[in-house]
Amino acid sequence: MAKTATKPRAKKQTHAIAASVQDGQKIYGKDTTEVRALDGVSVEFQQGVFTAIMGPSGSGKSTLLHCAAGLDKLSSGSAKIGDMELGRSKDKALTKLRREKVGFIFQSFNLVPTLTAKENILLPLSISGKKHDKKWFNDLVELLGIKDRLDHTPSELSGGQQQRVAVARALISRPEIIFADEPSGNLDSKSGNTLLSFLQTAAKKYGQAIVMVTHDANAAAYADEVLFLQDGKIVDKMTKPTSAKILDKLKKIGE
Amino acid sequence: MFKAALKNVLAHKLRMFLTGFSIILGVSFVSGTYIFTDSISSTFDNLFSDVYSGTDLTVRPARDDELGQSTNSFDESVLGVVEAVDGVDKAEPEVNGFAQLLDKEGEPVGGQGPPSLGFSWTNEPALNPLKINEGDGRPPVTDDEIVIDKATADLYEFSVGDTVKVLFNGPTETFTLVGIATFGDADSLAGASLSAFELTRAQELFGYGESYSAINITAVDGVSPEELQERVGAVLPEGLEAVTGEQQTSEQLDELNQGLGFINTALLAFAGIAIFVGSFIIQNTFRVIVAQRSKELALLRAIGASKLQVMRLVVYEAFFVSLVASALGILLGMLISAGVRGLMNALNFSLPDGPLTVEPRTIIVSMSVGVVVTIFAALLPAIRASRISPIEAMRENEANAGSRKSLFIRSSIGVVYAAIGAILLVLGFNGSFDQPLYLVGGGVALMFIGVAFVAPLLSIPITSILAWPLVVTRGVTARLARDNAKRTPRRTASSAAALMIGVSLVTMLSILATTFKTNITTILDDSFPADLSVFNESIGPAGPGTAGVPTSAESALDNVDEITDVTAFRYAYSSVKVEDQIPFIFAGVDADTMDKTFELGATDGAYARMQAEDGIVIRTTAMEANGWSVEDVITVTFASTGAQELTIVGTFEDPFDSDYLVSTETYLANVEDDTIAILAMNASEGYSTDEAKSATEQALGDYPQLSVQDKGDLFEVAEQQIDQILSLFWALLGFAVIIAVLGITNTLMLSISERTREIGMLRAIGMTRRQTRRMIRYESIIIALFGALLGITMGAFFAWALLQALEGEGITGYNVSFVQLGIYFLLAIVAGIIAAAWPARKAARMDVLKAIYHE
Repeated sequence: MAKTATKPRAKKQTHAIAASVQDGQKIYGKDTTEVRALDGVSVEFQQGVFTAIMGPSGSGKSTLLHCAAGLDKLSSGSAKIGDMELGRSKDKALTKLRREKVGFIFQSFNLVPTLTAKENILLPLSISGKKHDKKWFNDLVELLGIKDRLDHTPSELSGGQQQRVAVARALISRPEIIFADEPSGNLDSKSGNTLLSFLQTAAKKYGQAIVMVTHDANAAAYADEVLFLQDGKIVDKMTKPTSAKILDKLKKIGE
Repeated sequence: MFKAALKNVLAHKLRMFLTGFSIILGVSFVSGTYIFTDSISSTFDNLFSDVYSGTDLTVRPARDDELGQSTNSFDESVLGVVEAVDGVDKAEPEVNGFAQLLDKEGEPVGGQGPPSLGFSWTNEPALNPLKINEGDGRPPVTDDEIVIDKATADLYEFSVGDTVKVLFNGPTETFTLVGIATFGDADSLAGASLSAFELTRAQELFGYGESYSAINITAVDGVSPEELQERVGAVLPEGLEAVTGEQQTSEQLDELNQGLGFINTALLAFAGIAIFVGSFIIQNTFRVIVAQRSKELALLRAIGASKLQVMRLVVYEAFFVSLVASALGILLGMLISAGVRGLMNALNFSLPDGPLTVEPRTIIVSMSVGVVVTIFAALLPAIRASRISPIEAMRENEANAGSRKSLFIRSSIGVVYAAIGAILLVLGFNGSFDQPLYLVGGGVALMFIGVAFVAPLLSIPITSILAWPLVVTRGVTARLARDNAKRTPRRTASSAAALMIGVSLVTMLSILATTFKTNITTILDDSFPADLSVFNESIGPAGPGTAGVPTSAESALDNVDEITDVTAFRYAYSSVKVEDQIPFIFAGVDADTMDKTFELGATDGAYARMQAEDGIVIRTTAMEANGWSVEDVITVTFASTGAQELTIVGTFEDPFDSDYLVSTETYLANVEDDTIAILAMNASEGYSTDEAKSATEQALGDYPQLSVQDKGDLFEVAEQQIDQILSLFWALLGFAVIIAVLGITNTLMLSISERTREIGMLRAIGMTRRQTRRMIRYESIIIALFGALLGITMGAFFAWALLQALEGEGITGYNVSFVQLGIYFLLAIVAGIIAAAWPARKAARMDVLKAIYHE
């Protein structure tokens, strides 16, 4: 039955690995039509680290995110969240994993239009039949600046507000890791920046592992670390990125 | 545009299949009805033509167009007259009457089913409809020989040489089976059991004495039947006529078609209901299709398509779907009618074999119904499509489902429709209009449409209330389900409205049935004080063309001490004309005992005067309707004795089978058939009802077809009859409910495909497959419950309106079986679960990733 979500973790548990992909391959089609979306990718996502994945279209960055999140399965290699091997897990176990350990943020907010902002935020807990931690909820909405919008339905919120509601929804169950797919893609630059700096804060302040796919160098510059993908392979890594450095790198990779 | 529409249909096969399915079912009902009745009709056409092919001319008592045959028989001497006519080759007399076989257990053959007919055996094969095939024996020659039809012989395992007991309008007789005959090429005449006897024996058995019921004639070569008809007609005594075989065939067919026409109309009424239900589903589907494609349609507008072109696109799409679905419906109709025929044969109706007859009319009507209804249902969505503005092509969000304001406007229109419908309905039931059925039907349809219009607005609060128990106990999945149902009120409402129609009719019927049952008890108690009654159990208490209770059975009760006040009720069905009307039943009753066994609230001395003065007693309602008063003299025309002047000598208040009563003496003086419909009687002083019952049963030992019933038995029989009628209606209305359930499935399929991304997201944030299934299932249950609620409310109103109208007929009160209504709600839940099975599975099986990135 209902149980309270676990207490907040200590501020930082640096280097604890939240998720990983080992020698991940993802192949679509067969023979002549074969496409290697991922071609031997190995990567670890650590807690408290905000990672951005970049690369040209078709580089496999979204596929990597999906496989690491357990939404898609690798053709070979291993993908883990915590200690759990995703490839061998059944839908039931994966669902449980998503409930407890994973949060998602999508480009197109994906809120339930019939529910208010508050209800949308609490939806993951309602689904798993857990009570919410009131303090954690208040902290989140305060920090995201949506406290006075809680009783509104998504259609009454701006895009930026909607996405912040989605972020709160991803964080409410204190997942080990959050996967974000172009979270600022549908937002104007000001809303985008607010959102990204919040993600940055979440990683620092709550020790949250965050993995974000983006094609926007400005967005990637908010991350602690940037991975560059090309033709299904990680071709480079960058820590402490700036948008200028990222753009430079992208040019080198050659779009 | 045409091509674009066709492509769309092909691109959405599943959706089209679901829409098409409701059209297919509706059309199949229509075509199946036509094909079934046409096939029977044409088969019998062949059969009759075959049977009468050898008969050029038949002499028989003249028939009145209105009142039927004036007499059953004519004197034997006519045969000589006919034979003397130049051009007559052979002339064979015939007598016929009621003859019912007893099976080997001593039970009457046929039960409540088809009639039992007896004939005299005609020796001239050309003139004999019955035919004994090689190896099946020979014709009857002596007094104790009988020939029966093959179907009956097969069914009850009789073979040549067996002893057979037969009931006539009198005691049982015993025969030896000497032959088994076919009727033309058929084993039987539509399940009737046939038996044939030697001529003089048959005259005796059927009570003809020295008379015949017909003479069948063949003409010599070179004389046409028409020519012979003229010659014979010229010499026939008054009251007889000569008809050609062709005329007889067409007469018989007319009779058959009349009966079939009734079945046809009844079945088509149900087909109409099914199609009406289907039209809601079709409309719903196209509404969703338009909503889903609004962006695409807006784009078409943006690149220059006119409003009309966009509208046409939707209408063409409806046209394609309906064309294919109607054609499939006709095929399914053929299967259904073949199935029904098989079923009837399995129930021993032994319909003659024959090909399925698909008249061009069937195809034209079925196709038009399918196409017109579909296009009509798609018209509103098509108009909506044409109103989509080109700018919507640029918008991010899907077109919203229509504003609240338009819901209010729509609802106001709906309220007006429903109100007009309700007024028509009440007027139709209570007013004195020529065609009340049209008023009632129109009123009901208008009310359905009106309620369907209001339903979207109603659905918002009502689904909340209905979902409340689920939300409280089941939490967030139920909550999401409820919100989804509320999110698209129009769609929810029309799925529910489709279910409403079937449920309302079922509800109305069960309220009527419950009320009737309660009333029967009181009516039987109040107006039928008789302790016992006797009737022919093979038919039940009343019905036209029944065997009834032979007059000899009444005599058999003469010396039974245990009973007293034996009262005979004789009914003439549609064969007596009172002034210018022909009542369905005209009754003759035993005047001296009538008031001991029946309480009709007659005026003082009415029965005594009726008997003494050859008078007539009439129910007050009929008196008022015709402006008669007591002592008026009215003309009553009988088939055999013609117009008679009868004085109205009294009136009665309470409802009875007939509005007109004469004494048994008057009745028998004017009506040839002396068969009794019901015998009612009381237990004598000092005897219990049970003692009286067993004494009566014993006295009637020779009449196994008769049953003696006390009041308890009567209640039971009456209730059984009500239940039987009900179950037939339920079976037919079940069809409408099935279509409605398909409609819910359709709605859910469309709504999950619309919400693919949302479902993907829910799964991504931790909703299990089971929870997803549950969510869809709950939505389905909520829609079904809403439909059931609407239907039960409407049905309760229909029943109320009808019962108001019936108050004058002695039906009072309004009895609702809440248990039954509760069962309907439970069934709605079951229907909801069934409807959700496939969509729920589909939603749960969605690939999370694909769902999330679904466009």
